[in-house]
Amino acid sequence: MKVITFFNNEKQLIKKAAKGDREAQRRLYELHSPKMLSVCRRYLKDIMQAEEAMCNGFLKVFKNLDRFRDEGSFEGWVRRIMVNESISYLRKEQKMIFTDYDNQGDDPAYNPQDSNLEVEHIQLLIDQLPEGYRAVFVMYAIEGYKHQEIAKMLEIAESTSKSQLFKARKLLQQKLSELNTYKYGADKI
Amino acid sequence: MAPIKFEENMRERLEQREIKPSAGAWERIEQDLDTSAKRKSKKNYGWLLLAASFIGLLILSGKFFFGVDQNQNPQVVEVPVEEIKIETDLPVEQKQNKLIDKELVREEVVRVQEKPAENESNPKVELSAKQKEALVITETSPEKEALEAPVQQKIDAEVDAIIAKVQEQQNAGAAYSDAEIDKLLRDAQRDIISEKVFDKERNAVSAEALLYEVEEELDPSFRDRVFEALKEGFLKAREAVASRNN
Repeated sequence: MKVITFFNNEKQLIKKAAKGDREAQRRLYELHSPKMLSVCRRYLKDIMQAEEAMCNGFLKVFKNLDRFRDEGSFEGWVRRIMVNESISYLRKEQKMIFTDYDNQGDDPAYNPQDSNLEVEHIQLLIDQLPEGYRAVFVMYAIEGYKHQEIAKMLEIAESTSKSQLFKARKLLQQKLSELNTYKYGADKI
Repeated sequence: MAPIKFEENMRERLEQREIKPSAGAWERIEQDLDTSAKRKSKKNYGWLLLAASFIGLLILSGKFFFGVDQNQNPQVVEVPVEEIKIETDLPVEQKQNKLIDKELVREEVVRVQEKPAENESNPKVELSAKQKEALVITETSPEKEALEAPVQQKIDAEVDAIIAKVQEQQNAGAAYSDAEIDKLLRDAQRDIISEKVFDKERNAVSAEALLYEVEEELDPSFRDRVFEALKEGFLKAREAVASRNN
């Protein structure tokens, strides 16, 4: 019982894992991998690709565990690594194309009303966005990053980030309309 | 912009979602971790090797430079007292060889002094303190000369006595062997030395002569000179006798 309690303590686990304790590393992986695979899946359409990105992310986590400070949450630190790894994967595959769009402001017409979408449908909608749009939309709308941070992480201009979000939202609204038409047989939006 | 309800809902749903990775995912991570650990240890080993070779090189170069310095600085070695004792126990021949060496050194010093005098156009050679000291030693003191004057007379007398003995023997028909002649010469040498130490006129032992004799024991060039003078005088006399007989 004592051993289980000891290993359940995340701080102790992190300390042990940082020293190369394989069992502690495995426990950390088991604790965080389902959530982290979900994070990677938001950016990458293919589940296998998402898992590959997640594995590379965990490798980086364990290799750089001694750099982790207790200032923020461990999950937040791991999540950031996963996002970076997913972006790197997209960049490596040269799938992200960013096209500037003149209108960078908020679209007043954008106000989707369907809040009862299942997570599978949400993922389906996101998957239909081109990689460039998708990355910016997920980072901004789901992860909560600011345009400045997104621009830095994706190595693009802040204006490009804004224009990508605008286009992503417009496309998303269009796709949601199509989905509702399919679901309910009429355009609800 | 106010939060969009649709996006809020998306965020909540996606945050709650968990996807279980495949069974092989952890094995892959574990394998990669092992590989990187091995690579890391190999890297460390390489660094250790490099560091060890660098230290080895430093030691070798240090030894080389230190060794050169040691050779350049003459070491002062204290001669133990026992060594002197051994020296006194050495046979007479070895002693004489050593003394001859000393004599050669003295001659060298005299030559050093004479060389600048031979060629006056050359600039004067400044003699070191040691060389000057050596020159002082080579100079004969007047006291020494005073002591040697009667000795020379004694040598001549001894030579005459030996020649007379040899002549007498030859006249009698028997010839002296070289060993016998050497014995006669050594006896004469002993007489001269004892004569020198013991002053017959005053019936006392001359302290000065005794001291001189002791000094001569340490530096027996005088004894050798006496022997050489005896031998030389004897040979000259014998040649003269031989030529007169012819």
